[in-house]
Amino acid sequence: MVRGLMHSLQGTVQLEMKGFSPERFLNLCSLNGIEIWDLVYEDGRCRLSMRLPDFWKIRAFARKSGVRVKVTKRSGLPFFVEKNRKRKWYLLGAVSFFVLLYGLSLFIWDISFIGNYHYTDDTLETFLEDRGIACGVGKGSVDCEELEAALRSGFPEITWVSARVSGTRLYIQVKENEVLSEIRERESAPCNIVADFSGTITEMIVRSGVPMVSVGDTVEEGQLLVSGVVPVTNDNEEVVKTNLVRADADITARSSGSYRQSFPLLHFVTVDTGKLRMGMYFRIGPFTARFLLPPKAESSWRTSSQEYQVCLFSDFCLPVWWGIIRSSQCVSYERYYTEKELKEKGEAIHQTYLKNLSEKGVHIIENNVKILEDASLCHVEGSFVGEGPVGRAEAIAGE
Amino acid sequence: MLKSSKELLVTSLKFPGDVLLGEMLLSFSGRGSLLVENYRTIVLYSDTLIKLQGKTYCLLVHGSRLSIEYYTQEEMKITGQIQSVEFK
Repeated sequence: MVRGLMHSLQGTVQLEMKGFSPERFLNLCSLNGIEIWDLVYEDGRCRLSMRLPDFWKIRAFARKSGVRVKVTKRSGLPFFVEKNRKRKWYLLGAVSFFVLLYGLSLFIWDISFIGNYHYTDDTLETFLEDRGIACGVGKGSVDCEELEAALRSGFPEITWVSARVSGTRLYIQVKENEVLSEIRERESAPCNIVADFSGTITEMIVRSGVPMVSVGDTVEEGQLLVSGVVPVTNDNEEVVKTNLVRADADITARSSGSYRQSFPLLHFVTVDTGKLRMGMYFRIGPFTARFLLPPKAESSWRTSSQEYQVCLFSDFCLPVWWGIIRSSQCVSYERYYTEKELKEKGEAIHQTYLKNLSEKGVHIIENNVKILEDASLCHVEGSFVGEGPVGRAEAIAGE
Repeated sequence: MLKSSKELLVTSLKFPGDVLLGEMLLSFSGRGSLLVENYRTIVLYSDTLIKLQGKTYCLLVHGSRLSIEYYTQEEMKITGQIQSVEFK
């Protein structure tokens, strides 16, 4: 590639040679370090290529070896310049192109974030915009060290930041804290534990406080489970005084529950008709040019587009974006769910409900679902039996 | 046949022949390409025969549509349909 580029810069000529001793000519060229390539023999003539500076040296060799040399093709920069030397606008255009390119290279045209999982790109972009750093700002106005410090102080979960400018792109690489940045303090105020739902106690481990129920008891919502009032008795079993503690226990209860959800039998369906319109758009800064033929008749179209930024090299982005527009015609109408769809939708609602319970720590032992229909609605009635943690802290009355 | 003292030295010390004896090195890529190193001059060139002068012998490349992709003082790349190679 480098060799080809050098040849183009210096200019190359293709020659046709015939005469007494072409071999002698080739040997003389070789001895004098003249580079020759693409040597082909055709109909008693040799075709070969050489660089333009070497071409000026071969006159003596051609005379010595008794060959006649004719130039058949010229290519490369010197010939291009010679051909276009009178085209001033052409030259002006080329110069303007490079000046414009240089001007564009002085600004940031893309910001890339790497390593952010907790904070989204939009959050970080908004933060940078508030500090005057966005696409289009001059590279000179970006102080990477200051930016790193601002990001570290603005986002406590970010433990390490690296900001660097490469080409017209600003790279921001972050490392986020993977452990909890703060540990919640344990509350120490005295309290009772009361049931937060009705059920049957299946397991109970009391660490602090006086248990008021035992395994197998049925409790109601709001019933006292563990008391934070610990009595101190003497030898005659008389209460001498009471100590207030923070009740602490792991209590599991089995309970049953049910729910009912309804949704209409009619619903809107959008279907593609198969007609497609493709288009393109170009965006230069705030200006957009869109090329998409308008629809022939009044109809609904679903349009999506995919945008790309124009980059000369990997890091030399330009403020030019282009995109492909894909618009497909669609028709919306109202229809009833089929039996199969009703069953699937009802099952999905039930599974979502059970999943929410599981996320709260409830272990599902048994579950049932019924899907019922009336004139306009479908009802999903679900019931379950589950075991889960019971009890919430409640302040001691009269404290 | 008796070997010359130089050849004996190269054989016994396992030195490369192309360095000390000026032997030609030929590298084929199938029958379409041949790289020749350590040649002296081009004796004859046509589209069916290329004759190259080595230090002590000539190399003849027979074939059809033979062309020289490039050549320098040290090496030459021949392309085309190579049919045979002969030493004289």
